[in-house]
Amino acid sequence: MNATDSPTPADPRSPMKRLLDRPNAPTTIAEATKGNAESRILRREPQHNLLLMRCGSEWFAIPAECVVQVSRVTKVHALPHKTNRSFRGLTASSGAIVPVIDLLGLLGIPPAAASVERKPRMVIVGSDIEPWGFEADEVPGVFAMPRAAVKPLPLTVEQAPKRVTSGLLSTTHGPASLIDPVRLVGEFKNAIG
Amino acid sequence: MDLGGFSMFDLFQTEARQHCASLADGLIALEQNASDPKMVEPLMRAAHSVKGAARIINLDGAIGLAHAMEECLVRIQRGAEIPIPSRIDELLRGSDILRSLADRSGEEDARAWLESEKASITALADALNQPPRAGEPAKAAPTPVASTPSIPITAPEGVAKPAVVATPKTPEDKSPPAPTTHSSGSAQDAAVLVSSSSLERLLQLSGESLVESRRLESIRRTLTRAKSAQRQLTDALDSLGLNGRKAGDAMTAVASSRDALEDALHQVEDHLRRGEELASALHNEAVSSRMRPFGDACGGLARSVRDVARTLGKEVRLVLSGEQVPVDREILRQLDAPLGHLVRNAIDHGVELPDDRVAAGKPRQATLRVEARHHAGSLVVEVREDGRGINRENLRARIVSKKLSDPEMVQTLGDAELFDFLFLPGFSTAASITDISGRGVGLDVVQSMAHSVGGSIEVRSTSNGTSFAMRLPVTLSVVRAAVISIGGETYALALSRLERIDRIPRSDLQTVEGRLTTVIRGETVGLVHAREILDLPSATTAETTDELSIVSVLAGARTVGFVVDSFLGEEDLVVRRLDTRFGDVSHVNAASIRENGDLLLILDADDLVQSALQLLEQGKLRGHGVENATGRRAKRRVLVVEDSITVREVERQMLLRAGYMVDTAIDGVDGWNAVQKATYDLIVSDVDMPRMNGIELVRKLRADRRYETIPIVIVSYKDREEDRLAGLDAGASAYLTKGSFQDQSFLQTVADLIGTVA
Repeated sequence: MNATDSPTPADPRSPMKRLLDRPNAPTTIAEATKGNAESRILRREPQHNLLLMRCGSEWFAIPAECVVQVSRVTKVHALPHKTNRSFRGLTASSGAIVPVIDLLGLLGIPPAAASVERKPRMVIVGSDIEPWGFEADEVPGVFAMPRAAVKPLPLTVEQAPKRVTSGLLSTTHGPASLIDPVRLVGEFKNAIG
Repeated sequence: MDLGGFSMFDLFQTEARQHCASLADGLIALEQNASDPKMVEPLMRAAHSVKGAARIINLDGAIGLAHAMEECLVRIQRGAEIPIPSRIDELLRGSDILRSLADRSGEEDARAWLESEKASITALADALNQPPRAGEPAKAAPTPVASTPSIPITAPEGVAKPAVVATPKTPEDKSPPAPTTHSSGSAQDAAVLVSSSSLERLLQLSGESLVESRRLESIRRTLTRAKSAQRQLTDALDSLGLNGRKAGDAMTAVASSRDALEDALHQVEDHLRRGEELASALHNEAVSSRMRPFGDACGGLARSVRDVARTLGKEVRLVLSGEQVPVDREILRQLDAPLGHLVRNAIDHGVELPDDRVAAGKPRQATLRVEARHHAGSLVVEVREDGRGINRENLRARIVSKKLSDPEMVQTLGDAELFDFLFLPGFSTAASITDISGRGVGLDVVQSMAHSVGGSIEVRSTSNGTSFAMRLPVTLSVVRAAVISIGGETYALALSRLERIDRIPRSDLQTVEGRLTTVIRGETVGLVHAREILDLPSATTAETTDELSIVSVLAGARTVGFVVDSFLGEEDLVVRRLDTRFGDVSHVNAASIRENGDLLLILDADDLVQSALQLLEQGKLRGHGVENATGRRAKRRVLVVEDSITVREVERQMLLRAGYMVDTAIDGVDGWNAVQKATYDLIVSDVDMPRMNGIELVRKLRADRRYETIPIVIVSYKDREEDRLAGLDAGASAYLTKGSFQDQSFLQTVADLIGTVA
């Protein structure tokens, strides 16, 4: 209503408008870019997003990007002539048919003491097209962890023929093994072959 | 259109195949209706599109050929040229070449093939650029193209009469209409490229959304319970007979909470109903996306009819109907060869020569009908001609001469039984073997395809023609099945494979030679435990019940009864194939996800019967009730893996004579598969074999917990120390040379490892 009386920010003649419309100097843009880009790299570089889980008496961490889903435990159906101590059978998860591996049987992990409470979850890893499932006894969630925090495996583990881990981490739940997804899926394939 | 993951060559393939199919169909239609310039236009477009597709990946020879075809079609459209049969031949050959090119395995292969065919392709392109050789339409000798896989289309000497109303027509000639009615290119059902994994995922998710939508049902039940508890509360408050303001307030609060509850329940019910409707519509649509119109299987038929008729000097008009009838994609794929065979068979054996037809008072030109329709829940595909019909006396004579039946018996056979002989492998009624059919290798294939999908085939014949009708399931994606429990888990068997399902009291069981049987409807049926065949632990509950659930499955003309824990009902199951990671799983056909979200396995009835009979024969199956009757160890079983048939037979005979049971496999892969299916006490393997050699086989066996302790004897021609070490290093228990057959050391080694047979 008072637009005609005095210049307002919307008015092209307004000094504020002229200030805002002025193009940024190339140096200003370059500086701003440099600052933003640097800080992003600093924030992203050394992090691992890991899903932490307990299987039997051991803790494992698996890179979150290869986890398809963590869900309630579903019924597993034995596959005749194929089911063995490492391969439990098949389950239905989100409409997909998923082979379920017995991680304890596959890796020879001792079960946890009976007093330890189980909050079992079905963990689906791999991809939508080729999913693999296994049951974890407890899945506290996803944690970000600095990459530098990964320690090498002990020699005895590193030389083991069926190794699926690539390093060790210390977590609030105690030491955890970092799973190498490629090795893991390789062992899964052997288990059902 | 999802083109992710497709290479440029894949795109060329898809384009070229599609356009070559419409070229072939259109050219034949054009030949019969040359007066219509409108028919040429789509052909020009098709040739142009193939040219464009070839240009994307620079397939020079193909570009030149497609260009010559396009130019030739342009001349035909302008009326500068008449499409005489020899010209149509050339154009068809061009389309064949482009199609063969599209069928190459990859871009490199395509280039190499183009190079090898360069001379003939250039010659054809040149011929297309020349004016047609008018005056001798059918005799024009076309340039041979060696490696195009189509049926030869040049008429043999003496059969120069053009087929399929092939007289060249002038533009004024408006006589017979186009014999085939193709609706290709109909805009209502245009096909798009979707990757099969994406389609599969769509099916999975739609199934899951159906399961999820039903979970609301439990919320509805909780709300219903809350509502009845609420009513009890109101009644209790009423019965207290309270008065005063506070009591009034309480009653009001109770009433408003009742209204809110009522409202929530309605909303949930409404949501549940709509959600379920929507989810099932989505799921049905996803399942039906596996369906394709029957017309997709008829692409090459017009061409095939033309070529076969032309070669045999017959005149045939093809009439297609039911091209829009939806057919399961898998059935459509499997239908290709049988349909082609039935068509060739009909023209070769059914249709008479034109002069004979005229003499019999029929039109010169025969009519061949190929029709698809849905009938009583099945898909019927019928191939019918108006020929002379099957000569029953000739057929009887042939049955007798082939010693398949004696002369008296054959006279008593009715049509159905008589025609059954036509489907025997190697049975042919043709007086002489022709290139077209009559080799006796076709009709049995047609029948076995129908049987393999649970269908059947019916033949009818009169003096006015013969019809072959295949009755097939409408879809392979959904199967009506009996859901059963075995070893405490859920399985299903397709109803089409079941003879019957019975519950019989335990007291009705009998044994015959110590094997369990029972009498069902007057027939004594041998029983076996399904869980024993499936290698599953026994379910303790089933053992104690007074009744047994028996599923009877047809084994040829007889039945085998499988004892299962219980019968849970009939359901329509969406069939989900197991992915390749599992390899071949014995006795399991597919999986399915039930409405409650649980998984079940669909069993392969034929495989079950076969294993049951095999295991019974080998004494490996105990059969119910005789578990303790024989504690005797079954014979030792040996697997011989050897690619040389002579050596394999020598080893087999030696072991058989020594009292072992012997199975054979022809290479490492075959051996590995055999080991999955049966239990062996010892494996004998050669080293040098195709596909998987002996050393690889030993390594593979040793790497698997199930087989790490089976004794393995390698028998090889290689007798160097390093060969022996390589074998033993891989995990073989012994390494022998083939000389060991002479001096008994072969049998001695076997005996040392697994003992002799008493």
